[in-house]
Amino acid sequence: MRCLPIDDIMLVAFADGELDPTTTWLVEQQLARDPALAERVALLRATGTLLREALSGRDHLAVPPALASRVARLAQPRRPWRPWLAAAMVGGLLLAGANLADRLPFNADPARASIAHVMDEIADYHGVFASEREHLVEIPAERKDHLQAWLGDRLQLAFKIPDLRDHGLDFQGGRLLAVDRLPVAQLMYTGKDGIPVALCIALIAGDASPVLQRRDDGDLALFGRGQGHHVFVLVGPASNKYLPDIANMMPELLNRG
Amino acid sequence: MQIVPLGQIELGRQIVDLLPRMRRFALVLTRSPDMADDLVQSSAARALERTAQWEDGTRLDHWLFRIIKTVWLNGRKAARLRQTECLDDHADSSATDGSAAMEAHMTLNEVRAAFARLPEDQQRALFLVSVEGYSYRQAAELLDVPLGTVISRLARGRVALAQRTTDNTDRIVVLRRNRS
Repeated sequence: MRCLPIDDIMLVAFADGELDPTTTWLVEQQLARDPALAERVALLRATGTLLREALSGRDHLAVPPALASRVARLAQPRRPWRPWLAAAMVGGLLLAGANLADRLPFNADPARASIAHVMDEIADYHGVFASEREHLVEIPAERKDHLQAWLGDRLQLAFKIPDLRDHGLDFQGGRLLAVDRLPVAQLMYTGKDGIPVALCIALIAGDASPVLQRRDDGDLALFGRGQGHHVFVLVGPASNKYLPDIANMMPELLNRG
Repeated sequence: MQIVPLGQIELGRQIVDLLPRMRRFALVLTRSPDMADDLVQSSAARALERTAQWEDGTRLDHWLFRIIKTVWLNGRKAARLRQTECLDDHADSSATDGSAAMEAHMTLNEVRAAFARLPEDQQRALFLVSVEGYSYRQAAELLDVPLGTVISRLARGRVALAQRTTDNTDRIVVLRRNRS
């Protein structure tokens, strides 16, 4: 039988499974005859295992939240600058007396923070648009099929506009907005009292928490829930008794239309 | 509900998912948490600017690690980086109870300390193969060195680690056998 000149380079390569089958077989034969050599292979293999464990602890795989936030922001695709949208956002923020420092996205829990951030932005939008009566939306309810296709394409999400008449809400139409340069579909309804309720779908860069969140903002109630890259937000008057039920059905109610 | 592929957004999400490994590699290169964070951010930015260069179906982590190494080398050329904090300052705190766990904990710290004392070239080769699980050839590609150089660095690094941790390595092997 051929006897290989075995050195540490070969033993390490053997321990890592990097030798060709023939050489592997030859090394195995020599290991079977030489317990000291076999022990050395076990030791070299153990160092690899230990090193992997030593550098796989929480401290070595932890990502500081600030870094995660910065990279998540970088990962958001750039969209063309739209002055009218910026104006609407600034107006909304002023109307709501917003505290910008509290509204920055990506807090300690990015999944929850992203929903809270989208809810903040949508609350501001709602403050601006819900005050309109004659021009509540740009694309009317008659173009429901077009809205579904167009907004679905922008959001990269196939959905159906829900019929909420059983919950006292008539669909009025929709529009496309943006939060953090990512698209948001705003589906606008009105209650029997004529007060608008918006069901919004936002595309986000990260993953959103599936836990339903509720927040009251003055007379408004906001409900938010995530699924994958999308956040679903319902906003309307806190006095509307149907809103919690509708919110509980998000996002499934967007499947059935 | 059907979520369709997200293209660049999906790539961005995958980069975010890989951040722990990216940062760990950056820590091996820089040995400083602050510099590692800067390196990861710069590398992520570069990757996102050049998404067209990534071939769908190939390993994203491999591409990102190449970018990290390139950005790091460029940074070293531009300015001499000060290495202010060693890896062994990052003590693992996962083992908390029992003598076996304590012993394992001590051993892992010693392995980290021994790793931190290895020459940088050996550290990088060892990290890519033993920790990240790359093949020798992939590690050679990532490090832009011949295959033989990686093999040599790996062997020297592993032998040095074995020598510096022999007693504890024997102990931990015995502990594992007893537990299994």
